[in-house]
Amino acid sequence: MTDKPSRNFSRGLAAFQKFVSQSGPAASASYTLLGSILLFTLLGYFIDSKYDSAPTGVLIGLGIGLAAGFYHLAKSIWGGRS
Amino acid sequence: MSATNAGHASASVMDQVGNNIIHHVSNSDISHPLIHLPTLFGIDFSVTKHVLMLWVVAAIACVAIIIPVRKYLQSSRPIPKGWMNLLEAVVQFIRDSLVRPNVGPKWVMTWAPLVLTFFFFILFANAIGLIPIFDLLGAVNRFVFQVPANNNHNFINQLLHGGTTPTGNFNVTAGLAVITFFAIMVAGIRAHGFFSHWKNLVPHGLAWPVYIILIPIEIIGMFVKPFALTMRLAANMTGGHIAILAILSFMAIFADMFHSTVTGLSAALFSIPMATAISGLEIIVVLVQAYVFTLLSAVFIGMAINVHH
Repeated sequence: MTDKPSRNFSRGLAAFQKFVSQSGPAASASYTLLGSILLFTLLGYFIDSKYDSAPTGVLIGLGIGLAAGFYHLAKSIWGGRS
Repeated sequence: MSATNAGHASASVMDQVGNNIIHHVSNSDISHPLIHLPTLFGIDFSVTKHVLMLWVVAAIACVAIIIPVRKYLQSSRPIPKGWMNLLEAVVQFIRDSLVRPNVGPKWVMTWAPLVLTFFFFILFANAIGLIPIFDLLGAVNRFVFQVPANNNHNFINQLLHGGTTPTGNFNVTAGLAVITFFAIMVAGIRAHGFFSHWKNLVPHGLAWPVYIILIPIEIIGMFVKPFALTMRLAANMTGGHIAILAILSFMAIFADMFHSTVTGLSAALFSIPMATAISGLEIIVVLVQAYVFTLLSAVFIGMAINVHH
């Protein structure tokens, strides 16, 4: 009688473990995309505010951030499949 | 005239609310440290509140993890009981679900200790921000020991300045992310050798003009990973506290806006249940954020070991 719930619980935990281990690369790809856009846009903003060059720095930063972020996203998606 | 006065009063309450929120989540002032220590090599080693909280977290980690594990290892009991049983389950879950699938069976025992240290340290640092211990001490200090609030030399009064969550400080999370940054490099170099690790950063066999674009992007990626770890943890830990304080501030804002205590108390009917609900959510956030930092660190270390192009 008590075996069934405990078996279900351990099966649930095993499924949770499986999803957790599979979610890592996706989480890393999304955070790298977000991080690179944020980092380079902020860097561009900092350069703009220092050298009074707005909006060139922000735009260049955003471009570099997007390129780097999407490259790493693509690498996570297609790199994991090969 | 009265409208102007009301406008000024309203603005001042709004300013006070904003300042109070920032004051509650930020570190205490370095110019008024809790413990004065000398400046060495241009670095002021004086202890601010977040540094004190890091010491407290280290002490808790020592008492809750290191001492029980050492005691258990010294005893001849094969089956853990009580607290050690829970610890074993957590350690096993992180080792088998996070570290092993990412770094592989060969390196699991090398990197599991670092990842577990991250998890427990961040978990305790996040959780300590939910415990209103200094607020309680402040109340005891004020009403039992009759210490006035403006006595800035009193140690408990000094402790009331600044937030209690060290992981809400970007410097703390940056420190943790720097450890991950070097761990990624060490993992890659140990797995493939020094030169192969750097060569593995970019895919092999491409036309040379492609490398002109790819090499800078990969170098950028090296720094983006710890930056993402830094921002994510600190922003999430600060965000929850700001949300709770902002919702609680509705009472003061509404009372001031309508010049009525009853309106303020009516806002409490909404604010207090909402703040309680978000505090409950924060308990989950504390666990999830420690877990996500640990997961991402394991993934980044694993990416340096198992290179896919």
